[in-house]
Amino acid sequence: MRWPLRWKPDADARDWLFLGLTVLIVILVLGWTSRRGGDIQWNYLAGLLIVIVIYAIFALGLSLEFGHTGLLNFGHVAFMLIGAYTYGILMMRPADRPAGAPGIVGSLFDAASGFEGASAGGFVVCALAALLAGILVSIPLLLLARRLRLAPRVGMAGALGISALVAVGVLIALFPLSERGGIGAATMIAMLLGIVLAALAGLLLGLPTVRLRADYLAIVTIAAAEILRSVVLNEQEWTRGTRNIVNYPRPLVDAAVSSDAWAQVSRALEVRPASLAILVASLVTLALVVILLEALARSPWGRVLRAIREDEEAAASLGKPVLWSKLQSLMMGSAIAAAAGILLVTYLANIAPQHFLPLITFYAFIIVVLGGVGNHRGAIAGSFILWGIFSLSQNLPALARFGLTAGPPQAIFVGASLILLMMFRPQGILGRKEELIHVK
Amino acid sequence: MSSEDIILEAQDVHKHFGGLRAVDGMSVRIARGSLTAIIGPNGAGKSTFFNVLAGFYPATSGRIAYEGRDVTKLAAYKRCRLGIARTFQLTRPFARMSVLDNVMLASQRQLGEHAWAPLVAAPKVAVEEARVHEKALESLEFFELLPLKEEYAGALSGGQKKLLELARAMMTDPRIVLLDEPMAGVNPTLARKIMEKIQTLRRERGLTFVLIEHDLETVFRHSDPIVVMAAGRHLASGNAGEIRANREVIDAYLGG
Repeated sequence: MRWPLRWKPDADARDWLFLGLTVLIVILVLGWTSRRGGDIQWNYLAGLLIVIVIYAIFALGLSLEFGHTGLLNFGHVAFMLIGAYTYGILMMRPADRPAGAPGIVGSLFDAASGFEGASAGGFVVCALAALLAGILVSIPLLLLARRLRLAPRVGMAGALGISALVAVGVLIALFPLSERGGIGAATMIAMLLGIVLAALAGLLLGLPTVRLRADYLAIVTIAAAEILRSVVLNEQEWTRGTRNIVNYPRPLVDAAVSSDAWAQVSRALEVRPASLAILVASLVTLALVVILLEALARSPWGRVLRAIREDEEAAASLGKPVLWSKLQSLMMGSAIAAAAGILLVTYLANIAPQHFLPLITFYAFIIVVLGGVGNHRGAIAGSFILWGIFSLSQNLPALARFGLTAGPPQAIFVGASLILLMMFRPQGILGRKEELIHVK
Repeated sequence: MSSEDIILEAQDVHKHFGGLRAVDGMSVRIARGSLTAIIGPNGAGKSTFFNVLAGFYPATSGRIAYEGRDVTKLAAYKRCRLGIARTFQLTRPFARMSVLDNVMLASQRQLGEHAWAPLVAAPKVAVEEARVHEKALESLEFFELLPLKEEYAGALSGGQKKLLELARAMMTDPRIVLLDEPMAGVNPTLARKIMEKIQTLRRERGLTFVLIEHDLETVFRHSDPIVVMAAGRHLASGNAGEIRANREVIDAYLGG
């Protein structure tokens, strides 16, 4: 039995060891350089860790697309944007709504806050009604898909997807929970919708473009991402544009702040309760994403993706549906990016177009390459190293002594460190040197 | 020859690249269980014709029928699933994958290739993987690649890559195999070995082979029938004796 019991003791142990060492060293260095008067700034460290973990998640999406499938997606940040903005727009408070906003803006918030007085029985009734609605919608859709002669898998997935959306809509519309619980549930649904929408956007962007060769795909995706950011910047009735979306409900933060037990734990760790909650949520998400990707990477599905990365025509000659596999990879990578985006704006407490500059995509590329292309654990190590270098360049006393604390000198320090790392370890921290030889 | 014996048939197939008529009205009928060789001068359109047969280039016009079914418009990967396997003139191993993974990949209809399966049906996938693994090992053993199974495919020698492509093609459980110059650039001993393997597979599994080959000694010794292509068209076909004696073939290709 190879999978899932295919545990390569040497390689896996080595990877985990290197990852652990990287994480440990970066945390030690960051803690040391950020101390004030002999005290380690735990809260600062927690904030940095949140960003590192979120970027690791974001880079993991790219690791699947680029590292495993060979898709040169230069527009990865667009899917982070879609996740964040879907959440923000659906949960915008009435007071923040721009004049002339379309009905959908803030609609989940409205739906959730319109109900008072919760009852478990009522919830079950609503869930059943939603289920019924989903089934009722799915039957004609399935028949329609059959009439249109869609491939069974596509038709089935499409019909069930739409039905699920309808069911969720009905569930929200009927949600008989108290305001607080309603907002919490609605936020969860908004987040899920953000992830689903990002996956669909990946499909939409991928359908016309994944046939393109690597460099052309890169051009198209970076353009698409910038167009999307420009739209978000300018369609102010939807997105508030440069005024940013703020004050959206963050149930996780609310719960953390209002819980006494959590406050005690946070005080003991010298970290703000909200930061600690977001850090834990980010770590849990990271763990889930890593488990998901590792399970898939070791499966026959992952093998098909790697074959496509190596030579898509040869993969097609062996009966592998190249296009569909690439689309699946793009959809899953985009969904992961959206999850990272949602975590990011949960932490930042404001959603602004300039959070989603193309540079963010390239950070993800740096992370993937630093960690070792095609290695999920490497992406985590890469994120730690990149942010380690970033904050070192801000806090290193040796640099500060020469007055080098910001701006160009920092960029020089970061660039030089990356070049040195790549010179001495071109395969990345966890990469396989032998693989470099066989790159076409 | 009755029509049931025809496994693959091309009728008046054209493939034009702009003004270049690479394949210009090629017709051929491949009999089940045969070892058909396609020979012809460089630029005769043999490889292009192969690419059209395997679905890599859409035919400009003409019709391709496999097992009596029109497959002219079918995508390459679907043709493979129906049982048409191919190898490439310049070998195309998945360089950064192990030899074993190269071969395991080629197994068809794997449940684990659906993204949901490894997540919700892991035990089933594991059982399937064990079966595929077993089969891949057998295939590697047959092609004498077993000691190299953990190597990166990119690290193999040229001849070993040819064998790997054959092993991959066989792993798809094909009924017909299109081999594009399986012996080119391979030393005579290995070339003989490859030919033996092909004959064994033909004998034991009743597979049909079509090969493009320039090593005429081998072609004349092993193949029947032989199809000669020139300028994108069918020039002649027949057994070794007939081809050797054919005036047109001598003028166009064999030289005299």
